[in-house]
Amino acid sequence: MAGMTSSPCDIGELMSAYLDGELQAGELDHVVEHLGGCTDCILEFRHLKEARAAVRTLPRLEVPELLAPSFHFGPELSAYLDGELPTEEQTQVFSHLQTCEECRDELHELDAARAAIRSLPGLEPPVLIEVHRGRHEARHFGRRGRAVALAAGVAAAAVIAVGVAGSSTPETTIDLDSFTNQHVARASVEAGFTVIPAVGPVGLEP
Amino acid sequence: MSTARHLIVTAALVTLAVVATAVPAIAAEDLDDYLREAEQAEYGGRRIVVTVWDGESQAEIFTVIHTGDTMTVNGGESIVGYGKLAGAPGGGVVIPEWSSSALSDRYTMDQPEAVRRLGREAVRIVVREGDTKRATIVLDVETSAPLATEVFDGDGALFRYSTMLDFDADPAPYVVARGADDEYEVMLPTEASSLPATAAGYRRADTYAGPNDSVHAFYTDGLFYFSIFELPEGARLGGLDDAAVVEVGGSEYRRLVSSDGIWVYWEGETAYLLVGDLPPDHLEQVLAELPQPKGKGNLISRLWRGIFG
Repeated sequence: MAGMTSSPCDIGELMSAYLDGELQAGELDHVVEHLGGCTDCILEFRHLKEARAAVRTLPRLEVPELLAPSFHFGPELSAYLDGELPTEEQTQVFSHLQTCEECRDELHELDAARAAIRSLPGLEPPVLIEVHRGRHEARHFGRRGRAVALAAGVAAAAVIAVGVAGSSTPETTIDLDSFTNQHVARASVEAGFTVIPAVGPVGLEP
Repeated sequence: MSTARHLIVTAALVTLAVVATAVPAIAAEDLDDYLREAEQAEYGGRRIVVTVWDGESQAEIFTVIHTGDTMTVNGGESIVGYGKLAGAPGGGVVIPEWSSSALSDRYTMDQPEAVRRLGREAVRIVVREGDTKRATIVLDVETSAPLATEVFDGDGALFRYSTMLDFDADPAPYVVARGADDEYEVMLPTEASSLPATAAGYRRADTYAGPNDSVHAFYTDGLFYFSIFELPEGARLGGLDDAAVVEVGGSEYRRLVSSDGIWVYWEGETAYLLVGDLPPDHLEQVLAELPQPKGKGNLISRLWRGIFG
Protein backbone atom coordinates (compact mmCIF):
# COMPACT_ATOMS: atom_id res chain seq x y z
CA MET A 1 0.00 0.00 0.00
CA ALA A 2 2.26 2.71 -1.29
CA GLY A 3 -0.24 5.40 -0.31
CA MET A 4 0.59 4.87 3.33
CA THR A 5 4.27 5.40 3.09
CA SER A 6 4.99 8.04 0.46
CA SER A 7 4.79 11.84 0.59
CA PRO A 8 2.65 13.53 3.25
CA CYS A 9 -0.19 14.52 0.85
CA ASP A 10 -0.71 11.18 -0.82
CA ILE A 11 -4.42 10.62 -0.28
CA GLY A 12 -5.80 12.53 -3.26
CA GLU A 13 -6.94 9.44 -5.10
CA LEU A 14 -8.11 7.76 -1.92
CA MET A 15 -10.61 10.46 -1.08
CA SER A 16 -12.91 9.59 -3.96
CA ALA A 17 -12.79 5.93 -3.00
CA TYR A 18 -13.43 6.96 0.60
CA LEU A 19 -16.63 8.72 -0.42
CA ASP A 20 -17.67 5.60 -2.29
CA GLY A 21 -16.93 3.40 0.71
CA GLU A 22 -14.46 1.50 -1.44
CA LEU A 23 -11.29 1.84 0.60
CA GLN A 24 -9.38 -1.29 1.33
CA ALA A 25 -8.21 -2.41 4.73
CA GLY A 26 -5.73 0.02 6.21
CA GLU A 27 -6.49 2.82 3.79
CA LEU A 28 -9.35 4.20 5.85
CA ASP A 29 -7.18 4.78 8.91
CA HIS A 30 -4.60 6.47 6.75
CA VAL A 31 -7.12 8.83 5.16
CA VAL A 32 -8.73 9.74 8.47
CA GLU A 33 -5.37 10.29 10.13
CA HIS A 34 -4.14 12.47 7.29
CA LEU A 35 -7.30 14.53 7.11
CA GLY A 36 -6.89 15.27 10.78
CA GLY A 37 -3.81 17.33 10.16
CA CYS A 38 -3.71 18.60 6.58
CA THR A 39 -5.63 21.78 5.81
CA ASP A 40 -5.16 21.50 2.05
CA CYS A 41 -6.54 18.01 1.94
CA ILE A 42 -9.46 18.90 4.20
CA LEU A 43 -10.36 21.67 1.76
CA GLU A 44 -10.04 19.39 -1.23
CA PHE A 45 -12.06 16.72 0.54
CA ARG A 46 -14.86 19.19 1.17
CA HIS A 47 -14.92 20.30 -2.46
CA LEU A 48 -15.00 16.73 -3.62
CA LYS A 49 -17.75 15.80 -1.21
CA GLU A 50 -19.84 18.78 -2.23
CA ALA A 51 -19.39 18.00 -5.92
CA ARG A 52 -20.33 14.36 -5.45
CA ALA A 53 -23.34 15.27 -3.35
CA ALA A 54 -24.42 17.83 -5.90
CA VAL A 55 -24.21 15.31 -8.72
CA ARG A 56 -26.34 12.80 -6.90
CA THR A 57 -29.00 15.30 -5.96
CA LEU A 58 -29.32 17.01 -9.31
CA PRO A 59 -32.96 16.79 -10.30
CA ARG A 60 -33.77 15.23 -13.61
CA LEU A 61 -36.01 18.07 -14.73
CA GLU A 62 -37.27 18.55 -18.21
CA VAL A 63 -35.76 21.76 -19.53
CA PRO A 64 -37.60 23.60 -22.30
CA GLU A 65 -35.63 23.30 -25.49
CA LEU A 66 -35.38 27.08 -25.89
CA LEU A 67 -33.72 27.37 -22.49
CA ALA A 68 -31.27 24.57 -23.06
CA PRO A 69 -27.67 25.74 -23.42
CA SER A 70 -26.11 25.64 -26.85
CA PHE A 71 -22.85 24.12 -25.67
CA HIS A 72 -21.91 21.16 -23.54
CA PHE A 73 -19.04 20.21 -21.31
CA GLY A 74 -16.94 17.19 -22.21
CA PRO A 75 -13.87 16.10 -20.24
CA GLU A 76 -14.63 18.81 -17.66
CA LEU A 77 -17.48 16.64 -16.38
CA SER A 78 -15.06 13.97 -15.31
CA ALA A 79 -12.81 16.51 -13.63
CA TYR A 80 -15.87 18.04 -12.00
CA LEU A 81 -16.80 14.68 -10.59
CA ASP A 82 -13.42 14.44 -8.94
CA GLY A 83 -13.52 17.99 -7.62
CA GLU A 84 -10.38 18.80 -9.58
CA LEU A 85 -11.58 21.86 -11.44
CA PRO A 86 -10.52 25.32 -10.34
CA THR A 87 -13.22 26.96 -8.24
CA GLU A 88 -14.41 29.27 -11.02
CA GLU A 89 -14.70 26.45 -13.53
CA GLN A 90 -16.38 24.25 -10.92
CA THR A 91 -19.01 26.92 -10.46
CA GLN A 92 -19.51 27.27 -14.21
CA VAL A 93 -20.07 23.55 -14.64
CA PHE A 94 -22.42 23.44 -11.69
CA SER A 95 -24.48 26.31 -13.11
CA HIS A 96 -24.53 24.68 -16.52
CA LEU A 97 -25.79 21.45 -15.04
CA GLN A 98 -28.83 23.22 -13.65
CA THR A 99 -30.15 23.79 -17.13
CA CYS A 100 -28.51 21.13 -19.30
CA GLU A 101 -30.30 17.83 -19.17
CA GLU A 102 -27.87 16.21 -21.57
CA CYS A 103 -24.83 17.04 -19.48
CA ARG A 104 -26.63 15.89 -16.35
CA ASP A 105 -27.40 12.58 -18.01
CA GLU A 106 -23.80 12.21 -19.06
CA LEU A 107 -22.61 13.11 -15.58
CA HIS A 108 -24.85 10.52 -13.98
CA GLU A 109 -23.69 7.94 -16.48
CA LEU A 110 -20.07 8.86 -15.87
CA ASP A 111 -20.55 8.65 -12.13
CA ALA A 112 -22.15 5.23 -12.44
CA ALA A 113 -19.39 4.00 -14.72
CA ARG A 114 -16.68 5.14 -12.36
CA ALA A 115 -18.42 3.56 -9.41
CA ALA A 116 -18.61 0.35 -11.43
CA ILE A 117 -14.93 0.49 -12.27
CA ARG A 118 -14.02 1.11 -8.66
CA SER A 119 -16.05 -1.89 -7.65
CA LEU A 120 -13.98 -4.15 -9.89
CA PRO A 121 -11.81 -6.35 -7.72
CA GLY A 122 -8.15 -5.54 -7.47
CA LEU A 123 -8.21 -2.46 -9.68
CA GLU A 124 -5.70 0.27 -9.00
CA PRO A 125 -7.68 3.48 -8.33
CA PRO A 126 -4.79 5.77 -9.28
CA VAL A 127 -5.12 4.73 -12.91
CA LEU A 128 -8.42 6.55 -13.01
CA ILE A 129 -7.36 9.46 -10.88
CA GLU A 130 -4.21 9.96 -12.94
CA VAL A 131 -6.36 11.11 -15.83
CA HIS A 132 -6.71 14.58 -14.41
CA ARG A 133 -3.21 14.97 -13.13
CA GLY A 134 -1.65 16.28 -16.29
CA ARG A 135 -4.45 18.68 -16.95
CA HIS A 136 -4.54 20.30 -13.58
CA GLU A 137 -1.00 19.75 -12.37
CA ALA A 138 -2.31 18.05 -9.31
CA ARG A 139 -0.53 18.52 -6.06
CA HIS A 140 -0.69 14.95 -4.96
CA PHE A 141 0.98 11.86 -6.19
CA GLY A 142 -0.61 8.51 -5.82
CA ARG A 143 -0.03 4.84 -5.97
CA ARG A 144 0.63 4.77 -9.66
CA GLY A 145 3.84 3.02 -8.87
CA ARG A 146 1.85 -0.08 -8.08
CA ALA A 147 0.44 -0.10 -11.59
CA VAL A 148 3.94 0.32 -12.97
CA ALA A 149 5.13 -2.51 -10.77
CA LEU A 150 2.29 -4.65 -12.06
CA ALA A 151 3.28 -3.82 -15.62
CA ALA A 152 6.85 -4.71 -14.86
CA GLY A 153 5.72 -8.01 -13.40
CA VAL A 154 3.73 -8.87 -16.48
CA ALA A 155 6.62 -7.84 -18.68
CA ALA A 156 8.92 -10.08 -16.73
CA ALA A 157 6.48 -12.92 -17.17
CA ALA A 158 6.46 -12.34 -20.89
CA VAL A 159 9.96 -13.58 -21.47
CA ILE A 160 9.70 -17.07 -22.74
CA ALA A 161 12.38 -19.62 -23.25
CA VAL A 162 11.79 -22.20 -25.91
CA GLY A 163 13.66 -25.39 -25.31
CA VAL A 164 13.53 -28.52 -27.36
CA ALA A 165 12.87 -31.27 -24.91
CA GLY A 166 15.07 -34.30 -25.05
CA SER A 167 17.27 -33.12 -27.88
CA SER A 168 20.59 -31.45 -28.25
CA THR A 169 19.07 -28.36 -29.87
CA PRO A 170 20.26 -25.32 -27.90
CA GLU A 171 17.60 -23.35 -26.07
CA THR A 172 16.25 -20.34 -27.91
CA THR A 173 15.02 -17.37 -25.95
CA ILE A 174 12.12 -15.47 -27.48
CA ASP A 175 9.46 -13.21 -26.09
CA LEU A 176 5.72 -13.12 -26.49
CA ASP A 177 6.04 -10.13 -28.80
CA SER A 178 6.80 -12.42 -31.71
CA PHE A 179 3.50 -14.20 -31.32
CA THR A 180 1.54 -11.13 -30.32
CA ASN A 181 2.80 -9.07 -33.24
CA GLN A 182 1.82 -11.74 -35.73
CA HIS A 183 -1.61 -12.07 -34.16
CA VAL A 184 -2.11 -8.31 -34.19
CA ALA A 185 -0.95 -7.97 -37.80
CA ARG A 186 -3.62 -10.45 -38.85
CA ALA A 187 -6.23 -8.93 -36.54
CA SER A 188 -5.58 -5.46 -37.97
CA VAL A 189 -7.48 -6.36 -41.12
CA GLU A 190 -10.54 -7.37 -39.10
CA ALA A 191 -13.36 -5.02 -38.21
CA GLY A 192 -14.04 -6.74 -34.92
CA PHE A 193 -14.39 -5.56 -31.38
CA THR A 194 -10.86 -5.09 -30.10
CA VAL A 195 -10.32 -1.43 -29.33
CA ILE A 196 -6.58 -1.48 -28.77
CA PRO A 197 -5.14 -4.07 -31.10
CA ALA A 198 -1.66 -2.75 -30.69
CA VAL A 199 -0.05 -3.80 -27.48
CA GLY A 200 0.13 -7.02 -25.57
CA PRO A 201 0.94 -7.47 -21.92
CA VAL A 202 2.31 -4.11 -20.92
CA GLY A 203 5.75 -3.38 -22.22
CA LEU A 204 6.55 -6.80 -23.54
CA GLU A 205 10.28 -6.66 -23.73
CA PRO A 206 12.67 -9.53 -23.45
CA MET B 1 -56.76 22.08 -49.31
CA SER B 2 -55.00 24.75 -51.29
CA THR B 3 -51.71 24.11 -52.99
CA ALA B 4 -49.96 26.45 -50.54
CA ARG B 5 -51.39 24.64 -47.49
CA HIS B 6 -50.62 21.31 -49.08
CA LEU B 7 -47.00 22.37 -49.52
CA ILE B 8 -46.81 23.60 -45.90
CA VAL B 9 -48.22 20.35 -44.56
CA THR B 10 -45.91 18.34 -46.79
CA ALA B 11 -42.95 20.42 -45.68
CA ALA B 12 -43.91 19.94 -42.06
CA LEU B 13 -44.19 16.18 -42.49
CA VAL B 14 -40.85 16.06 -44.26
CA THR B 15 -39.32 18.13 -41.46
CA LEU B 16 -40.75 15.80 -38.84
CA ALA B 17 -39.46 12.81 -40.75
CA VAL B 18 -36.01 14.36 -40.97
CA VAL B 19 -36.00 15.23 -37.25
CA ALA B 20 -37.21 11.79 -36.35
CA THR B 21 -34.39 10.14 -38.27
CA ALA B 22 -31.66 12.68 -37.61
CA VAL B 23 -30.12 10.63 -34.79
CA PRO B 24 -28.37 8.33 -35.25
CA ALA B 25 -26.59 9.92 -38.18
CA ILE B 26 -23.85 7.37 -38.77
CA ALA B 27 -24.24 5.90 -42.21
CA ALA B 28 -24.66 2.33 -41.03
CA GLU B 29 -27.53 -0.10 -41.15
CA ASP B 30 -26.36 -3.15 -39.27
CA LEU B 31 -23.73 -4.20 -36.76
CA ASP B 32 -21.24 -5.13 -39.45
CA ASP B 33 -21.59 -1.64 -40.94
CA TYR B 34 -21.05 0.01 -37.58
CA LEU B 35 -17.93 -2.05 -36.91
CA ARG B 36 -16.47 -1.23 -40.31
CA GLU B 37 -17.29 2.46 -39.90
CA ALA B 38 -15.47 2.40 -36.56
CA GLU B 39 -12.51 0.68 -38.16
CA GLN B 40 -12.11 3.55 -40.62
CA ALA B 41 -12.76 6.37 -38.12
CA GLU B 42 -10.33 9.22 -37.66
CA TYR B 43 -9.82 10.37 -34.09
CA GLY B 44 -7.35 10.69 -31.28
CA GLY B 45 -7.29 10.86 -27.51
CA ARG B 46 -6.71 8.83 -24.40
CA ARG B 47 -8.53 5.63 -23.73
CA ILE B 48 -8.70 3.55 -20.59
CA VAL B 49 -9.23 -0.19 -20.94
CA VAL B 50 -10.15 -2.32 -17.95
CA THR B 51 -10.45 -6.10 -17.94
CA VAL B 52 -11.53 -8.26 -15.05
CA TRP B 53 -10.81 -11.96 -15.10
CA ASP B 54 -11.37 -14.36 -12.22
CA GLY B 55 -11.50 -11.54 -9.72
CA GLU B 56 -8.34 -9.84 -10.93
CA SER B 57 -8.50 -6.55 -12.81
CA GLN B 58 -6.05 -5.04 -15.23
CA ALA B 59 -6.30 -1.42 -16.33
CA GLU B 60 -4.26 0.70 -18.66
CA ILE B 61 -4.49 4.08 -20.34
CA PHE B 62 -3.48 4.35 -23.99
CA THR B 63 -2.94 7.45 -26.06
CA VAL B 64 -4.20 6.63 -29.53
CA ILE B 65 -4.26 8.33 -32.91
CA HIS B 66 -6.53 6.48 -35.30
CA THR B 67 -6.31 7.77 -38.84
CA GLY B 68 -8.16 5.61 -41.28
CA ASP B 69 -6.45 2.26 -41.37
CA THR B 70 -3.55 3.11 -39.07
CA MET B 71 -3.55 3.27 -35.30
CA THR B 72 -0.64 4.76 -33.40
CA VAL B 73 -0.43 3.95 -29.71
CA ASN B 74 1.44 5.90 -27.06
CA GLY B 75 3.29 8.22 -29.41
CA GLY B 76 4.67 5.57 -31.72
CA GLU B 77 5.42 2.89 -29.15
CA SER B 78 3.28 0.69 -31.31
CA ILE B 79 1.79 1.23 -34.75
CA VAL B 80 -0.80 -0.92 -36.42
CA GLY B 81 -1.35 -0.43 -40.10
CA TYR B 82 -3.79 -2.27 -42.26
CA GLY B 83 -2.05 -5.62 -42.70
CA LYS B 84 1.21 -4.27 -41.42
CA LEU B 85 2.33 -3.99 -37.85
CA ALA B 86 5.41 -2.12 -36.76
CA GLY B 87 5.98 -3.04 -33.16
CA ALA B 88 8.93 -0.71 -32.83
CA PRO B 89 10.98 1.62 -35.01
CA GLY B 90 12.89 -0.39 -37.55
CA GLY B 91 10.47 -3.04 -38.63
CA GLY B 92 7.45 -5.18 -38.00
CA VAL B 93 5.22 -7.82 -39.51
CA VAL B 94 3.58 -7.70 -42.93
CA ILE B 95 0.59 -9.80 -43.92
CA PRO B 96 0.13 -9.89 -47.68
CA GLU B 97 -2.81 -12.33 -47.86
CA TRP B 98 -5.89 -12.94 -45.78
CA SER B 99 -9.43 -14.22 -46.09
CA SER B 100 -12.32 -11.87 -45.63
CA SER B 101 -14.42 -12.85 -42.65
CA ALA B 102 -18.10 -12.23 -42.07
CA LEU B 103 -19.80 -11.40 -38.80
CA SER B 104 -21.30 -14.50 -37.22
CA ASP B 105 -25.08 -14.67 -37.40
CA ARG B 106 -25.16 -15.47 -33.70
CA TYR B 107 -24.86 -11.73 -33.04
CA THR B 108 -27.78 -9.34 -33.34
CA MET B 109 -28.11 -5.66 -32.55
CA ASP B 110 -30.82 -3.69 -30.75
CA GLN B 111 -32.11 -0.48 -32.25
CA PRO B 112 -29.36 2.16 -31.75
CA GLU B 113 -30.06 4.69 -29.02
CA ALA B 114 -29.00 8.34 -29.19
CA VAL B 115 -26.79 9.31 -26.24
CA ARG B 116 -24.14 11.88 -25.35
CA ARG B 117 -20.59 11.04 -24.42
CA LEU B 118 -17.75 13.46 -23.73
CA GLY B 119 -20.13 16.22 -24.71
CA ARG B 120 -20.61 14.72 -28.16
CA GLU B 121 -23.52 13.26 -30.05
CA ALA B 122 -23.27 9.50 -29.99
CA VAL B 123 -25.24 6.31 -30.49
CA ARG B 124 -25.24 3.30 -28.19
CA ILE B 125 -25.51 -0.14 -29.74
CA VAL B 126 -26.37 -3.22 -27.74
CA VAL B 127 -24.97 -6.42 -29.22
CA ARG B 128 -26.76 -9.61 -28.28
CA GLU B 129 -25.75 -13.21 -28.58
CA GLY B 130 -29.03 -15.06 -28.47
CA ASP B 131 -30.80 -13.69 -25.40
CA THR B 132 -27.56 -12.64 -23.73
CA LYS B 133 -26.24 -9.10 -23.84
CA ARG B 134 -22.71 -9.60 -25.12
CA ALA B 135 -21.56 -6.00 -25.58
CA THR B 136 -22.44 -2.35 -25.85
CA ILE B 137 -20.65 0.11 -28.10
CA VAL B 138 -21.00 3.89 -27.97
CA LEU B 139 -20.01 5.41 -31.29
CA ASP B 140 -19.36 9.07 -32.00
CA VAL B 141 -21.84 10.29 -34.58
CA GLU B 142 -19.45 12.69 -36.31
CA THR B 143 -16.48 10.36 -36.68
CA SER B 144 -17.88 6.85 -36.03
CA ALA B 145 -15.14 6.40 -33.44
CA PRO B 146 -15.82 4.00 -30.57
CA LEU B 147 -16.11 6.27 -27.52
CA ALA B 148 -16.89 3.50 -25.07
CA THR B 149 -17.33 -0.25 -25.13
CA GLU B 150 -18.43 -2.88 -22.67
CA VAL B 151 -18.05 -6.62 -23.13
CA PHE B 152 -19.91 -9.07 -20.92
CA ASP B 153 -19.24 -12.69 -20.10
CA GLY B 154 -21.80 -15.43 -20.50
CA ASP B 155 -23.33 -14.63 -17.11
CA GLY B 156 -23.87 -11.00 -18.01
CA ALA B 157 -21.04 -9.72 -15.81
CA LEU B 158 -18.83 -6.93 -17.12
CA PHE B 159 -15.61 -8.43 -18.44
CA ARG B 160 -13.98 -5.57 -20.32
CA TYR B 161 -14.70 -1.84 -20.21
CA SER B 162 -13.17 0.80 -22.38
CA THR B 163 -13.83 4.49 -22.66
CA MET B 164 -12.19 7.52 -24.19
CA LEU B 165 -11.11 9.96 -21.49
CA ASP B 166 -10.65 12.83 -23.90
CA PHE B 167 -11.33 13.01 -27.59
CA ASP B 168 -9.93 14.82 -30.60
CA ALA B 169 -11.96 14.59 -33.80
CA ASP B 170 -9.16 16.06 -35.87
CA PRO B 171 -5.87 14.62 -34.65
CA ALA B 172 -2.56 15.38 -36.27
CA PRO B 173 -1.43 12.17 -37.94
CA TYR B 174 1.61 10.50 -36.47
CA VAL B 175 4.34 10.51 -39.09
CA VAL B 176 6.07 7.16 -39.29
CA ALA B 177 9.71 7.54 -40.22
CA ARG B 178 10.71 4.53 -42.25
CA GLY B 179 14.33 3.78 -42.95
CA ALA B 180 16.08 1.81 -45.64
CA ASP B 181 17.24 -0.69 -43.04
CA ASP B 182 13.78 -1.42 -41.66
CA GLU B 183 13.15 -5.14 -41.45
CA TYR B 184 9.74 -6.67 -41.98
CA GLU B 185 8.78 -10.28 -41.51
CA VAL B 186 6.27 -11.50 -44.05
CA MET B 187 3.56 -13.87 -42.86
CA LEU B 188 3.46 -16.74 -45.33
CA PRO B 189 0.21 -18.69 -45.75
CA THR B 190 0.41 -22.43 -45.17
CA GLU B 191 -1.97 -25.37 -45.19
CA ALA B 192 -0.13 -27.25 -42.48
CA SER B 193 -2.43 -26.71 -39.50
CA SER B 194 -3.93 -29.72 -37.81
CA LEU B 195 -6.32 -27.56 -35.82
CA PRO B 196 -10.08 -27.77 -36.42
CA ALA B 197 -11.76 -25.62 -39.06
CA THR B 198 -14.22 -24.30 -36.49
CA ALA B 199 -14.21 -24.02 -32.71
CA ALA B 200 -17.16 -22.89 -30.61
CA GLY B 201 -18.58 -20.75 -33.39
CA TYR B 202 -15.24 -19.32 -34.46
CA ARG B 203 -13.99 -20.05 -37.95
CA ARG B 204 -10.37 -20.71 -38.81
CA ALA B 205 -9.90 -18.00 -41.40
CA ASP B 206 -6.22 -18.37 -42.25
CA THR B 207 -3.13 -20.36 -41.44
CA TYR B 208 0.42 -19.00 -41.61
CA ALA B 209 3.94 -19.99 -40.80
CA GLY B 210 4.59 -18.63 -37.31
CA PRO B 211 7.59 -17.56 -35.25
CA ASN B 212 10.13 -20.21 -34.26
CA ASP B 213 8.79 -22.77 -36.73
CA SER B 214 5.34 -22.67 -35.21
CA VAL B 215 2.11 -22.81 -37.20
CA HIS B 216 -0.27 -19.90 -36.77
CA ALA B 217 -4.03 -20.44 -37.11
CA PHE B 218 -6.24 -17.34 -36.97
CA TYR B 219 -9.85 -17.72 -35.84
CA THR B 220 -12.63 -15.14 -35.84
CA ASP B 221 -16.39 -14.84 -35.50
CA GLY B 222 -16.33 -11.30 -36.87
CA LEU B 223 -16.56 -9.71 -33.43
CA PHE B 224 -13.77 -11.35 -31.42
CA TYR B 225 -10.68 -13.12 -32.68
CA PHE B 226 -7.77 -15.18 -31.53
CA SER B 227 -4.69 -16.89 -32.87
CA ILE B 228 -3.34 -20.31 -31.94
CA PHE B 229 0.33 -21.01 -32.40
CA GLU B 230 1.15 -24.69 -32.61
CA LEU B 231 4.79 -25.19 -31.65
CA PRO B 232 6.94 -27.70 -33.48
CA GLU B 233 7.04 -31.21 -32.09
CA GLY B 234 9.18 -31.44 -29.01
CA ALA B 235 9.32 -27.69 -28.40
CA ARG B 236 8.06 -26.33 -25.12
CA LEU B 237 7.65 -22.88 -23.67
CA GLY B 238 9.21 -22.20 -20.33
CA GLY B 239 9.71 -19.24 -18.06
CA LEU B 240 6.04 -18.56 -17.45
CA ASP B 241 6.70 -18.18 -13.76
CA ASP B 242 4.18 -15.39 -13.29
CA ALA B 243 1.46 -16.97 -15.39
CA ALA B 244 -1.58 -18.20 -13.51
CA VAL B 245 -2.17 -21.93 -13.58
CA VAL B 246 -5.86 -22.40 -14.30
CA GLU B 247 -8.01 -25.46 -14.72
CA VAL B 248 -10.52 -25.58 -17.54
CA GLY B 249 -12.59 -28.70 -18.10
CA GLY B 250 -10.32 -30.65 -15.78
CA SER B 251 -7.15 -29.70 -17.67
CA GLU B 252 -4.41 -27.28 -16.69
CA TYR B 253 -3.43 -24.21 -18.67
CA ARG B 254 -1.06 -21.31 -18.06
CA ARG B 255 -2.67 -17.89 -18.49
CA LEU B 256 -1.56 -14.28 -18.74
CA VAL B 257 -4.10 -11.46 -18.89
CA SER B 258 -3.58 -7.83 -19.87
CA SER B 259 -6.09 -5.00 -20.09
CA ASP B 260 -6.84 -5.85 -23.70
CA GLY B 261 -5.90 -9.44 -24.31
CA ILE B 262 -5.19 -12.92 -23.05
CA TRP B 263 -2.45 -15.49 -23.56
CA VAL B 264 -3.09 -19.16 -22.79
CA TYR B 265 -0.43 -21.87 -23.05
CA TRP B 266 -0.83 -25.61 -22.77
CA GLU B 267 0.96 -28.79 -23.68
CA GLY B 268 -0.71 -31.67 -25.41
CA GLU B 269 0.89 -33.88 -28.02
CA THR B 270 2.55 -30.62 -28.99
CA ALA B 271 2.49 -27.26 -27.23
CA TYR B 272 0.04 -24.47 -28.05
CA LEU B 273 -0.22 -20.75 -27.35
CA LEU B 274 -3.52 -18.89 -27.76
CA VAL B 275 -3.49 -15.10 -28.12
CA GLY B 276 -6.73 -13.18 -28.36
CA ASP B 277 -9.42 -10.96 -26.95
CA LEU B 278 -12.32 -13.36 -26.54
CA PRO B 279 -14.49 -13.33 -23.40
CA PRO B 280 -14.08 -15.97 -20.67
CA ASP B 281 -17.05 -18.17 -21.57
CA HIS B 282 -16.03 -18.21 -25.22
CA LEU B 283 -12.48 -19.10 -24.24
CA GLU B 284 -13.69 -22.03 -22.19
CA GLN B 285 -15.82 -23.31 -25.07
CA VAL B 286 -12.97 -22.86 -27.55
CA LEU B 287 -10.45 -24.70 -25.38
CA ALA B 288 -12.88 -27.60 -25.04
CA GLU B 289 -12.86 -28.06 -28.81
CA LEU B 290 -9.10 -27.83 -29.30
CA PRO B 291 -6.40 -30.45 -28.64
CA GLN B 292 -6.35 -31.09 -24.91
CA PRO B 293 -3.47 -30.76 -22.49
CA LYS B 294 -1.85 -33.93 -21.30
CA GLY B 295 -3.03 -35.32 -18.00
CA LYS B 296 -2.13 -33.73 -14.75
CA GLY B 297 0.70 -36.18 -14.34
CA ASN B 298 2.99 -34.64 -16.95
CA LEU B 299 6.47 -33.68 -15.93
CA ILE B 300 6.12 -29.90 -16.02
CA SER B 301 2.89 -29.97 -14.05
CA ARG B 302 4.45 -32.19 -11.43
CA LEU B 303 7.48 -29.96 -11.20
CA TRP B 304 5.29 -26.87 -11.02
CA ARG B 305 3.20 -28.29 -8.22
CA GLY B 306 6.25 -29.61 -6.46
CA ILE B 307 7.87 -26.19 -6.42
CA PHE B 308 4.90 -23.89 -6.02
CA GLY B 309 2.32 -26.19 -4.48
